Amino acid sequence: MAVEPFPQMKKKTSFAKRQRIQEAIWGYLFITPNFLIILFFTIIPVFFALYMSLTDWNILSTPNFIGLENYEKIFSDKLARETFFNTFYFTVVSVPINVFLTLLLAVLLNQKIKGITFFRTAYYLPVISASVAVSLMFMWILANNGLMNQILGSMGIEPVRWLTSPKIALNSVIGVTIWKGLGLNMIIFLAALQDIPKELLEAAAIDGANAVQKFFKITIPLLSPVIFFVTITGVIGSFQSFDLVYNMTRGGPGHSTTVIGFYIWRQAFDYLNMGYGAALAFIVFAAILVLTTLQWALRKFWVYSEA
Amino acid sequence: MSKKNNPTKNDSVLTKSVQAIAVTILVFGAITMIIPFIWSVITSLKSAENIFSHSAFWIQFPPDFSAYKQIWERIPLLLYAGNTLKVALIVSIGQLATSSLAGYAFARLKFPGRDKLFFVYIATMMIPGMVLLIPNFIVMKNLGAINTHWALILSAVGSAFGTFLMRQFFLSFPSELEDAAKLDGCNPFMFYWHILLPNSKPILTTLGLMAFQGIWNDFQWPLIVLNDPSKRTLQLGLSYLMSEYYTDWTLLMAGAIITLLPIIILFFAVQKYFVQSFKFTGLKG
Amino acid sequence: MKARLPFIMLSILIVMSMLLGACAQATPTKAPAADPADTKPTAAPAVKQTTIKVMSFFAYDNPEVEAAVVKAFEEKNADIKVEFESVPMSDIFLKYKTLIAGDVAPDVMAMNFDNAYVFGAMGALEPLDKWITESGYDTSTIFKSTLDMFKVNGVQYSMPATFSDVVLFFNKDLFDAAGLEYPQRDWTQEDLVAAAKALTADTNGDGKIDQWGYTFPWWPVVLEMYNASIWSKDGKTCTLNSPEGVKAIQSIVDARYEGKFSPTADQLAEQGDWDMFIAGKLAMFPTGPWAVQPFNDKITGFTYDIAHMPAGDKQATHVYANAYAMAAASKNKEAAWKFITFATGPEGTKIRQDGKYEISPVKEIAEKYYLAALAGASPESAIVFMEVQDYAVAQPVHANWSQIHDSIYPELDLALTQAKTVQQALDDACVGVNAALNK
Repeated sequence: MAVEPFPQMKKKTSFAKRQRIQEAIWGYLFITPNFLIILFFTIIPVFFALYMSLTDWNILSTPNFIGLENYEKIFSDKLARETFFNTFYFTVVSVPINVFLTLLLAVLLNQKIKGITFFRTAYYLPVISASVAVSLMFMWILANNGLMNQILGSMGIEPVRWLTSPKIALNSVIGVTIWKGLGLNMIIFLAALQDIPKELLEAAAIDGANAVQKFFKITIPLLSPVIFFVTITGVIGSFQSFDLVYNMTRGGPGHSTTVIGFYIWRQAFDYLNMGYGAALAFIVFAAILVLTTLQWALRKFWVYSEA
Repeated sequence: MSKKNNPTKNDSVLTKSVQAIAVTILVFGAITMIIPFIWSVITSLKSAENIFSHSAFWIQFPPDFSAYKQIWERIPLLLYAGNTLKVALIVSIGQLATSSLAGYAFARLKFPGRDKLFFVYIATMMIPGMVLLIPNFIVMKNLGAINTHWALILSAVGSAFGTFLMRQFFLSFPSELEDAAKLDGCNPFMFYWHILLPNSKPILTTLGLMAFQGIWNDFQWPLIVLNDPSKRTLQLGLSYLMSEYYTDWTLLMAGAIITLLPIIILFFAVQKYFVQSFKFTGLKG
Repeated sequence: MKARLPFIMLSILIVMSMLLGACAQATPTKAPAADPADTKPTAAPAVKQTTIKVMSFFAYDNPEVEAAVVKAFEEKNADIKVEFESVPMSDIFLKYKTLIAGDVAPDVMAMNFDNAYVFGAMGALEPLDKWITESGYDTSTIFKSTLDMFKVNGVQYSMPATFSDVVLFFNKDLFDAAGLEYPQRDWTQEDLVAAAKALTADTNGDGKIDQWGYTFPWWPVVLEMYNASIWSKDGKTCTLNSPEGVKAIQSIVDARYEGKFSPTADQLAEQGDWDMFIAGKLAMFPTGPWAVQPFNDKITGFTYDIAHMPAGDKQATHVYANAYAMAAASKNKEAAWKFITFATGPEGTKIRQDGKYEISPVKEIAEKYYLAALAGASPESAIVFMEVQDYAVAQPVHANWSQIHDSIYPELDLALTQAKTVQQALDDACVGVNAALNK
């Protein structure tokens, strides 16, 4: 499946063959530098981690091989199930909102508006701030008598226990995550919007298409490779989310904000169950893999120029 | 958008009202985005005893710069900022180079195993990074890179995320351009260099910025691989000012502002590249 | 073209990554790279030097203190060179774990009480009993409770370098203004509650309390005061949900919601008790000697003193200590032991104590110099830090301590915010604690 024949050529000529080989050589050459880095600092470590997941390694002493025991243990771990559920909720809520809002923002910020530089910078500010600072900032803002409740109070709304109510805390963390991440996908979409040929939009306008039609008929299809990217990296990111939970709530109150990334960290580094933590990580891997394979398989139906 | 050519009056009315709504949304959103930062600046300029005694937006006058002074006096700020800048610049440029090359190959060149290999790339992103911390450390140790800036650079100059991002952008690059280049006798590298890169400034800027800020704000990895105080990065250096027993809010906020400023300046500087000004100039003529 | 620089960089990177790649592949499974100490050329030709690596979080935010200890040691031991690295407390244990996993553990590591236990129990630390006997080290000069804290199943794994304990800090001016007697050694909970209630006030009349009577110490101390424990003597069953445990935790809940003289979790989230006390908005605050220096620096406008913790069902408090331990994998154990005995002995601990980092665990140094160093400054009754030794015990610890802690903490959260009854929360916590105890 890898080498698709040139559609325009019915017969293979030796020239075409030589060209194909040349192109393949260029291809391998181009990926080499990047691939070496990925190989050493991701692929080899992943296999190392895979081995860890088959041991009882506690970091501080020598590991013993225990086969699939860690994986079996996951099924009886009630807390693991709870954290998977939290993570799933986190993903289902945060990814669509993020994609929708960032796309909206990018479209708006692609207009000729006064002070566009200011707006772009404002939305990008949270992205460039360190998580620790953002967490502490929001712990204060979302405190019972914090800024948020003061503002609500001035509108006559009862104070909300943003971070201390088990029912609300996860939503607050999701909110802060979205707040912090908006600018990132926004600039990606903004860059993607630059790639849409103006001629296409103008031609459509002459044909009588209105803004909404142009958006759905031209902009969205042309953006689809990037929407695909943003969705996949969004799902991956939310399955691995850790920083804000670690700094803001430490998984509490109760276990209400314990997401899987945080749980893996705890198991691996706090409880010294590195083997078990690694096994959990591969379950996460499997879950994302299933989701991504699904999107990958479906991409030919909706992602422009992938077909 | 060329309004003159607009066939219907309706459309321009719509555009105007849409613009008004757009600006309203943007202003509201922007306020939400920057209020916490304004508050950070205000807090960093308060004296310790005034932090809790007044409302959040009470501004102390005259402002108290002692937190900034303390940071300046207690850590070699310029050295740490210089270290971080050096590493972040090398990583951004390196990541741009390797990711754009690989992204181009995955998007537009045909070679056996291409899609399978690309799927491996995406797959590597799916493993929660924390379990790779120790394996990565061991690889670095075997490369002899511990306690050098190479440890920060090497692991970041190639990125699956960056490759994926570049690939998605290069996918939608008009194929007519590539065909034209081929007819002109351009090899893939010449096409990449003379046509693809100059026409991809927005996304290159985006990725470069992301790589830069990733290094700039990283804390855990430098903490683990660096030992020598003179090699510390900014975030690592600042962590030595925070007490074990309590949160020093003015110091913390001043530190956050100090680390933020250079990236804001950088963002302003590269801002203009977000807008493609001479798209596809290679094609015409 | 101006974008040439990236290309030069790229070619360098390609070549470099290949070179590095090759050399890494050639030696992938080789035994861990030699300890940096071994490959270091000897610095002074006259003396053959051993280099040891020491990592510590002691006074990391004031690095001169521990650096002075190292310097004093090097002056006395010309044949040993110390590569010293200071790392913030919150991150040092992660760094140790990574270094140990990578087989490059420092020879000497600073430890706190719970990590010392975990690292010792997992075999990452060198048992020190043999070293103590062979070098004839006199441990009777050290506060016994601090030594005991660093034993795992009776084996000494670390040597205490500092000690601290929880006592009652109080704002003298608030007591004077209310016309109350200062806290006494024989105070019971009734005395405490009465005083705390009298000191809780809404000073600006906006309907919200802005001056509090009392905040609680860390919950294990409260358990101790009511004879409660987390696990049974044999370490196999959770005893947290016993009547004693419930009574202890209930006393916190009652103080917050019935007596209303202690701030709730929500109120503490806005301003922590540490900051409240400094701001003069908290009358009584249990904390340790680590607070003395920051308080003396920051508190203006009132004087504070310390007193014994008021008794619960018994008079109790916890002592804590930090220590130095030797890595089991160290290749320079002789030199490492020399450093440990110096840094935890009279000279080393005196430097640290003079640097205002907690108190020396060496009796003589603590008794002779700690009080003298504080003479003329607050707290006036600093002697209480020593007197507490009469009844204070070490905080109990377990090899699975973080898991036990994380099983209790979330449930305690729910109890303290009245989302659950205390009994219910502690019953639920015990499920997790039992699992951790029997792992």
